[in-house]
Parts: sequence; structure tokens; C-alpha cells
Amino acid sequence: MANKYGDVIGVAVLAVAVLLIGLFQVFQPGGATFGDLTGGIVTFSTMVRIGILTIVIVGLNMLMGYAGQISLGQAAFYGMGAYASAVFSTRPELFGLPESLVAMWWWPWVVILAAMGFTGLFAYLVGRPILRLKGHYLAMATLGLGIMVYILFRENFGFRTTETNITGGYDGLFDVPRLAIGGFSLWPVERYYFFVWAIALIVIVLAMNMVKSRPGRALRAIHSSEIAAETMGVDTASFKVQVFVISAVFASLAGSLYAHFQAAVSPAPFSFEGSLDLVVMAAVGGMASVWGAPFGVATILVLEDLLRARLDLIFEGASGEIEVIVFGGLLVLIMIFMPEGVFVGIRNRINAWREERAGAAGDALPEQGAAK
Amino acid sequence: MSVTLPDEQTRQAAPPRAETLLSVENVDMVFGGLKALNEVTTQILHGQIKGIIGPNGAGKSTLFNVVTGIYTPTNGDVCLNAESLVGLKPNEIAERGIARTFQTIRLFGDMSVLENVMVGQHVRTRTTFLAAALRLPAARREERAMRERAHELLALCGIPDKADTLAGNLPFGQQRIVEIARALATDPKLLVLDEPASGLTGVERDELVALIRRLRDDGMTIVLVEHDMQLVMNLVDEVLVLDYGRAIAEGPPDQIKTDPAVIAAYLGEDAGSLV
Ligand SMILES: Nc1ncnc2c1ncn2[C@@H]1O[C@H](COP(=O)(O)OP(=O)(O)OP(=O)(O)O)[C@@H](O)[C@H]1O
Ligand SMILES: [Mg+2]
Repeated sequence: MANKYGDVIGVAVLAVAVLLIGLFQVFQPGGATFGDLTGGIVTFSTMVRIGILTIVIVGLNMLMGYAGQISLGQAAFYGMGAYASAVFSTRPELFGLPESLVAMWWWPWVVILAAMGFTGLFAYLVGRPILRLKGHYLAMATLGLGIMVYILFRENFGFRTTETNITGGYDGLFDVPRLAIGGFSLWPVERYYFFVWAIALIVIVLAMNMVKSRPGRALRAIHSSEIAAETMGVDTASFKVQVFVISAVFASLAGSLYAHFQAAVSPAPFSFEGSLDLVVMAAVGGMASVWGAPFGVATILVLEDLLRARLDLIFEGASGEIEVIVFGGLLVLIMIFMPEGVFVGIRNRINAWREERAGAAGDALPEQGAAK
Repeated sequence: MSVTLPDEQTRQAAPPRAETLLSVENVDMVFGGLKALNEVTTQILHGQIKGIIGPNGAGKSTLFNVVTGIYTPTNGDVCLNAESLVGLKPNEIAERGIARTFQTIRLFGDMSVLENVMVGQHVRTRTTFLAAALRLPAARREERAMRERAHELLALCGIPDKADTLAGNLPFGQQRIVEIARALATDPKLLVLDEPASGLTGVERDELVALIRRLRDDGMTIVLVEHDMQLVMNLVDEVLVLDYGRAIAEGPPDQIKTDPAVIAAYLGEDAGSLV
């Protein structure tokens, strides 16, 4: 029973939590903002970033956790969405489009959708050859892809002149507009927060529907035994490419949301380190679980905030390096004690504990125990 | 295409028992310097149970891997209903109607037994990522039908109560049965079983034999590799004997038992087991 409705309850709980945090920030009971609630350590904007990255990690989880195909270049797709939104919503004339589009409220939305389509197509084209590789080779190929795309962003696609400044090089791009629906702006940040989380929840539900059905079972079968999956009739090559494309499209969507949130983009988040962070978030949340995504992202971002804010209390005069070391150490501990991921680990422990209790109760009430 | 003659039409509608379902013609399979299969030719007729025997390393599993598209034969042809399978991918061969089990069990261990069987239905179903994501009515209907059919297959195979167990947690013998259920879920014309009884207890063996007989009575065509001679000789209609990649004998069990070439091949190996 818990299994059948577990996901529905999960979505409801997450939605309520999102709502409570948002409403707290909006109404500020007793004059306290969400940030005050955490002693100024975890800010409200962190909550928005958790929502945005959840969208990326849900896709990465389908690719890595379900289908078992590693990607060390996922930040490239994230960056493609971000840069597409930043470039086209500020300077469409660079690509021969009318400059007046910038004034249209609907234009950024068209760009977001077009970026998702383009990123998906790009993932399809590179995914077909790359996904023939397995294990370390696939890891290397996706890593190379990520680095290549990052360098294109950073080096302005190789253009040295300022007339064809597309990506803004190291500095990136600024003045990315906020999103709006007609005259209704999705800003200030509280509005954007609700918007981002609505999208994140939709993505979670879509992904859950996918993994629980025929195509999702095909992905898990590929993960478990590619030969068996193939002899059972699963077109493994096609399904791998499809899930790669889905993960890229989700990442692109998140990238666009990120650009409109920061109102700026720079290459750094889309580097190799950026891709690694994404893999860490996926692993920390729990790989073969859509639910792991928000947990993994929240764990990492909150830890980062915590360390940044409080580390100097523990180590006097601690520098950024100490932060990285402590952060790495915590990750190692998490992976030692909960290798299945924080979310999956906690869930398994709760289930085991409940089964133990149910087992004890089952002795007393045999009929109920048998009925399950 | 040529004009279809009337008698061909009737034949397609109800293939008579004696018609060839699978034909293997002069198949060679070379690995480096090793000829794992050497000009193997055999036919499997509709509704037949064929046993393949032979000493370790004779090429039995290799023949199955060629038939199911895991290996592409170096030479020769494999045809299902006179249509060549050479060069097709395993999933395309599954679609054309050949399903198999593996000598070393290859279940999806972290999926439930029911889900394993439902993966078998993959090839006969069509729900896409998009249809599943949006829970379109067709997708939900298909999912429900798959679930029902999977339960039926588990019942047919005698393990209806194991649906929700993780496949990897089942005892070995039942894992072999789940592999058969999963193969049946592809709705095959030909079922290929690689040592289905190996590692089974006596009781499990009897259950397996009963299941195979039931499938045959329902009209399934089956090829199986088996080392247990008594099991093979009691179960099959015809035996093919492989030795060093060559088909050295083929015929009804009684004839094979007394075939001098077969006895010679098994001498030194395990001569007593033939009797
Ligand atoms: N992929 C491969 N690469 C190289 N050699 C192989 C390969 N597959 C099988 N062989 C070789 O082909 C020969 C036949 O192997 P096969 O597995 O078909 O034997 P078998 O009859 O199934 O034996 P067993 O009864 O032990 O299962 C063996 O010598 C084996 O080592
Ligand atoms: Mg073998």
C-alpha cells in the first residue's frame, strides 16, 4: 500500500514544504524572513537554486541511476540552456533576428523552448556515437564533451573581436531580463521561487511516471544486464539515446531558469567542476530514485552555505581551501555510511524499521500480516 | 513478390507440424583460431522439442548465441520461417519471435519478478517516454494489460506468489523459472533454453520438466541444451549432438543413445551418463 501511494504522498509533502517556505518568506510572520529562520545561513535564494538544480538532477538520475549511463558533462547541457536564454533574450540581432523581440514578454519563453529543442537535438547527435561506449570510456567521452562546450562558452566560440561578442568570454553576459507572463512579472524572488518549484514538481511527476512504466523498466533492464535487455527485445541503443536526450532537455530548461534567476551568466558553473558537482548531488541524493534529486541538491547546497557561514567558528581564519576539504570529507562520510544516497538510505532504514514493527505486530495478528 | 498460391495461403494460416521453423545452414563461428562452430546444419520443426547435447566447450551456447543474434556467424545462414536472421540485432530477433534463457542466469536482479516479466513484454508493447510521462489513456491501459498478462505468466510457470519478490532474492531454481517466464512474455515462436535444469534440485527439475511439457502441449517450439541425459532423453523429440563445434549426430533419442560416434565423443568424458 505504502508503495502504491508513496509517490503521490511524496509529491504532496514536497509541495506543502515548498508552499510553507514560500508563504513564510512572503508574509514574514513576526518580521522574520526565511533567512532569519536559519540564522542567516541558508538564504531564500538557496531555496530557488535547489529547485532549479533539482530539475537537472532528476534528468541526470534517470540517465545514471536508472539507465546506468554515466555523464561527466551534464553541465554542458545546463550551460547551453543558460547561454541560449542569456544571448537570445538580450541580443537576438546577433543572429539576424529583429531587435524588437527583446521588448516582447513572450520572447524569453520562446527562447527557453527553442533551447530545449536545440539542446535535445545536440544531445541526440552526440549521444548516438558516444553512448556506444561503456563504463570509463563513456565517462571520458562525456567529460571531453563537457570541457569542449565549456571552452566554447569561455572563449566566445573562438571569436576574439568584440563585434562578435556572443558569450562574453570569462566575464559572461549581464542584464538577462526577468520572466513575465503578459504584464505579470515573475519577479521579485518570491514569485520566481514559486514558479521554479512548480516546474520542478512537474518535472518530478513526469519523471516518476516515466520510470514506473515500460520505458523506465527498459532503462533499469539496460542498467542491470544489457545483453539480457537486448535479448528481451529492448533496443538498448535507442533507449540510451532517448534518456540522454531527456536528461539534456531537463538540464537545458534548468539552465534557462538559472539565467533568468541570476540575470547573468558566466562560464564557471558549466565547467568540469560544475559537472562533477551535479554527479555528486545525484549520488548524494540516491541514484535510482527520482526522490533523491531534491534531497541530494538540498544536502549539497545547504552544506555549502553552512560551511561558508560557520567554518571560521571552528577553524579560526579558515580559508576557502579548508571549506573544500571539510566538504569533501563530509561527502566521503556520507558515501561510506549511506552509499545508496541520503534519501534512499533514510527511506530504506525507515522501511526496515517499519517492517520490523510490522513483523512484531504480525505475530499477534496473523490475518492482517498475511493480508499485507 | 510472387503470386501466392492457394495452398501456400492455407499453410500460412495453420503451419503443419512437419514444417521447419528454424533452419541453421552451414554455420561457422570462428573466435580467433578457434572454430567454435564448424559447418553446423540443423532444422527445428514447428511444435518440436529439440535437445542439444555435447561435451563442455562443444559449442552449444555458441550456437544459441548465433541464433539469438548475440554473435554474427562467420559463415552460413540462420532462418526463422525462411527469413534470414543473420546481421539482425538481438532485439530484432526477439521481435521476430525467438526468446531465450541463459546458462548463467541474467535476471534483472534489483527488479521484482513481475517487473522482470514485464520487461519481456517490452517488444510486444509500445508505450513511449512521452506517453508514459503524460499518463495518456493508452499508456495506462497498456500498463494494466501488461501487469495482468505478467501475473498470468507467473501463474502458468507455477510461481504466482513471487510477483513482488526481488528477482535477485529468489532461490536459484526459481530464478531459472523466472527467466523462462520472462522469455515467454516476449510471445515467442521459438523458446531457446540454455541448461535450464542445471543447479536445480530434484523437485525443481520435475517442475521444470512439467512446465516444458505444458508449453509443448500449448504448441510452443523449444530447443534446449542439457547435460542431464536422462532428462533430455525423456523430454525431447530429437537430439542434436555437438562435439568440437561439429554436429556429429542427430535423430530421435533412442537412435542417439546407440550412435557409435556419440558414444565415442562421450568416452572418457562421462560415458556412463548416456545409458
Ligand atoms: N566470445 C568468445 N570468444 C572466444 N571464444 C569463445 C567465445 N564464446 C565461446 N568461445 C569458445 O567457444 C567454445 C565453445 O563454447 P560454448 O560456450 O559454446 O560451449 P558449450 O558447448 O556451451 O559448453 P558448456 O557445456 O561448458 O556450456 C569454447 O572453447 C569457448 O571457449
Ligand atoms: Mg554452454
